[in-house]
Amino acid sequence: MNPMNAVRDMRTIKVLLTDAERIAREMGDEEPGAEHLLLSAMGLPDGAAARALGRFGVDAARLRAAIVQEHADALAAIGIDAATVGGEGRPAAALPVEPRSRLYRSSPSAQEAFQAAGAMARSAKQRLSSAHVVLAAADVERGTLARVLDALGVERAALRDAARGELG
Amino acid sequence: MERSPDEPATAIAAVIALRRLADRMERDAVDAAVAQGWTWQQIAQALGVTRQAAHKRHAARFRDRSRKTEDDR
Repeated sequence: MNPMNAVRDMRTIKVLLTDAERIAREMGDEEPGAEHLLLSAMGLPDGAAARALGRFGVDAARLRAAIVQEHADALAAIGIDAATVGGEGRPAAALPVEPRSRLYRSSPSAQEAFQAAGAMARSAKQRLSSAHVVLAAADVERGTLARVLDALGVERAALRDAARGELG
Repeated sequence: MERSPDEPATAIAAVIALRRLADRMERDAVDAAVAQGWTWQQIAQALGVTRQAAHKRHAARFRDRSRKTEDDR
């Protein structure tokens, strides 16, 4: 890969991980998970992730709402009404973004998806694109992101096709 | 979609959501305690953790706020 592309990849990584952490904290989570990484990818300027998910009628707002709904449904399944106990989604639940370190914080699910996205870009000798994050997201089998994609009716094989289409 | 609590995926999703809820309730309660003038020692005792653990987990939020207040001046 030419060195300029490596520099661009580093910028992409910085925005991707910084935004994932910001989004997670806005949503009241200490660390981003794979679901926040996908939300972050949908905001990347290359637009590939947003277009790929857009084919399923999913924009960032809808994905974000589905994540909140997934946690509320999971609590409802054991008889807890999230609206009365936790005030799920209320603005006060947001955590301040800590300005401290340059170290990115993320949960294992986000790290795994991020590493998978990078590995796919490298093996295809492509610049890192938000489409690689979508490909990695489509491979996640369990956990919040997988349940949210199921709830949104996003079929994985079709999502992979959409992401690959963006990579040309 | 099947949402039976007997299914492991559903049970684990509930655990995840409960942890988020517990974390949120803890933050809200600690914020309220600090606002009422509790010391970190008292907060730690109530939470059943060491003072250092309570401070590590919660004090950054207050540092952020005081920094923001200074910035706003």
